[in-house]
Amino acid sequence: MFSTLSDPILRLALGIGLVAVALTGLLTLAIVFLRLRLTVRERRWEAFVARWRPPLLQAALEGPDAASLPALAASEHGLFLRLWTYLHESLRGEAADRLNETARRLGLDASVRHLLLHGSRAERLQATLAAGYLRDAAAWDALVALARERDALIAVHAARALVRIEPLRAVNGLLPLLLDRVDWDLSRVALVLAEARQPFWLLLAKVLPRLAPERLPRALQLAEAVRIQPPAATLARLLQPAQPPEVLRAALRLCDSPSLGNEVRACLTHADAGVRAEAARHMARLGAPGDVARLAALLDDADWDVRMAAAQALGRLPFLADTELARLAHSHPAAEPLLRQVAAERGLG
Amino acid sequence: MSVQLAVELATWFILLYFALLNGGYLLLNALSLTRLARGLQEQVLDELPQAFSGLEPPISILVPAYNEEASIVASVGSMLQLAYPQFEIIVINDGSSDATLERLREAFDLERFPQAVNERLPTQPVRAIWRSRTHAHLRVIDKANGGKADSLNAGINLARHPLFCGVDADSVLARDSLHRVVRPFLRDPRVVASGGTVRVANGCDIQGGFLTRVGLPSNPWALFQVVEYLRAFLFGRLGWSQLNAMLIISGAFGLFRTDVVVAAGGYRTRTIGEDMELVVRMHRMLRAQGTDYRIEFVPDPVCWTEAPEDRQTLRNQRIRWQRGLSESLAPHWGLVFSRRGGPPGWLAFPFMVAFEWLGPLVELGGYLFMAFAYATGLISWQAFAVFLFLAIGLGILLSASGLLLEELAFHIYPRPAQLAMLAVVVVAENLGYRQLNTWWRLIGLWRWATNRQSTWGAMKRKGL
Repeated sequence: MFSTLSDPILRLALGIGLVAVALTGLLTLAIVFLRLRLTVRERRWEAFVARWRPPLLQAALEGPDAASLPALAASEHGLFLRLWTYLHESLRGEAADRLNETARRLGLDASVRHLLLHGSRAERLQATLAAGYLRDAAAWDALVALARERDALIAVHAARALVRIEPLRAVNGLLPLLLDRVDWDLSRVALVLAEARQPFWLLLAKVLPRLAPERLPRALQLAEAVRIQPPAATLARLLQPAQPPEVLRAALRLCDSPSLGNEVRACLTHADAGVRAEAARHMARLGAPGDVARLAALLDDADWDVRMAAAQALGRLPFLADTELARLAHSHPAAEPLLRQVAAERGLG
Repeated sequence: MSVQLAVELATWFILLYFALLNGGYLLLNALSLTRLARGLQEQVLDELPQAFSGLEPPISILVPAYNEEASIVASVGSMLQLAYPQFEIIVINDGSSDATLERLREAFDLERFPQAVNERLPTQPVRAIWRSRTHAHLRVIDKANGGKADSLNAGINLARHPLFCGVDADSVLARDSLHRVVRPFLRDPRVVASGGTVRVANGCDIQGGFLTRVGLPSNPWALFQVVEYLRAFLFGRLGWSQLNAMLIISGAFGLFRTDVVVAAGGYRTRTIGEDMELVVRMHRMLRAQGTDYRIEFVPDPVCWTEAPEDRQTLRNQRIRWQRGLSESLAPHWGLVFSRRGGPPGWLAFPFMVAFEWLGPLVELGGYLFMAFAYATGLISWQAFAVFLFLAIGLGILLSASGLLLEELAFHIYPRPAQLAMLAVVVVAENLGYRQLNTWWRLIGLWRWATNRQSTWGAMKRKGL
């Protein structure tokens, strides 16, 4: 056994070893190929930038007529879009419009629409960015289809492009997706909605009262993300104790009106600690002398975050003297370290 | 049983073991490849100027420090410059016997502050909490010595933000590291933790606490570790992450949801593998609860660390790591093949036990057995040679695939000469270095089995 290479087990082992060596050789070739391809691509990119950046900047400043644009080969459309998108990120107003005009003259709008439908994933991503900057209404249907794709990254960028093209129509059509697609990165959604704050505010004010409870937290989170304030009457309805805790917490974060003081006060005794803590935080702004006792009661809360929120709210009440804070610390031993910190922060304040 | 039959069975077992081990790694490699390819398609976004929406969740950076007087000021200084909208830094001086605290006090104008502490996790007594007059989001905990895990727990107790990031005091972070490692949390609300790729900083230029030029070390020990890290991070962790079965997030750089870690009981203090133990425990807890969760891995190089450059320090590190692995796996056997174990319990944990934990025993046993069988004439020289050829050939293949992933996705070593050097190391590390490593891991296993005490352990550093 195992004396010669005629043994089946040895032949098998040798075979696997040879396959491993062959695969290693292939990997080495692949690594060399990747490096060569990278070098070629980088050189091509550098040459393209050297050739196109000056005329593109001139076109952005003075218009495409003033710039002597070099010929653009079809094989260079990808490179052009890359440079053009990069420049767009730092340009606004008329300069951005001139950049769009330049791209249209070069036929890039048609190229972008083609890529939206037939490009690879990377090309579609590039094309959604470009279509948004171009405000290309002709790409609307293709972008709507992309916004409904499972691929969250492409979908959210298609949504942003739609908002850039026609904010009101886009927000109207996208609202169900904005509320349901929790896989859409919230910070990217905020950037989308930041370009359509007014239409989003109008739409949200209309639909919030009718939304199903499970969609409310996300809707309120989006409102918070773009820093818009739903109408006080709507918030008052959302702050009713019967609402789920996650709705209450989200609604509390949006409260800024003194007219909601009673609703916020009612939340101070809610069964959910997160709701109590959020309500306590708001009492720092809404609190009146009569609220000191309510907040003081929370200094003995079972939950540390609630105690801390209450202590910080008390510390921020402008009418509460340092001596009163010290008295509270004395009468609420569980919150004494918290109030000591708050008093020190006041001193630094 | 005849001797020949025993030899035949042992040989089959060793070959089968090597086939499963390398086959498993090649599968992980394929999984990593798909993920990296997808990341490449998104490169168009990475090239654009990065805008913050202000909705990125705030992060508490926890920096345990034990006798770090030489480097702590530079480390904290660079962390203060990280590009992220809202974060705080909490340095935990774990009873250092050197001037770590004094250096911090001088550099950042610290003053004692009566900070209230939410004692969610038990720790060694906190002596004082300091706050910087010059950097409002920098605080320092001065506490009695309790080890790295205890320090992290003390940091968690003070953390104000929903996410915390454990960072080694000697790590060099990329300026956008937080931005990159928080992305999984932004795109998926189920994410409870994400880990970043750690690379070897030896040979690189570091200025002002940031990496300014990527280079390769001239020291052979460090050079071997460059390839080792590529293998461990680019297809080990990334592959498991694709299956939501990653069992370790490096203590050098990992982001966690604070509430989930507190619910899991924080870091376990009586272990040196506290980073892995926590992740395994989180898997176990969340699986048992039936929670839909994700633990993600970010392949981008976000953290750079100094690798040991001498044999003794490296040996000690590997012994510690193997003991840490043992201490992380042993208390969580309940996860293996459990009803709700999922990919961590049915795939990653058994794989880790068979090939990482017991691996040194079988691998070294295999080499010894083959050498013994050849010396006593039980197998021919051809059989012995074929075994070595197979073991080393598969090892080189795996290392080469790590290099391929690096070149495909990041190509951070820009010069062709560097790539050629790495190719040489891919082969060379399989001709002695890996076997030596296996021996050290076996010592670690033995020390764990014989119940030696766990400590932070001293590491000889040249300094970055």
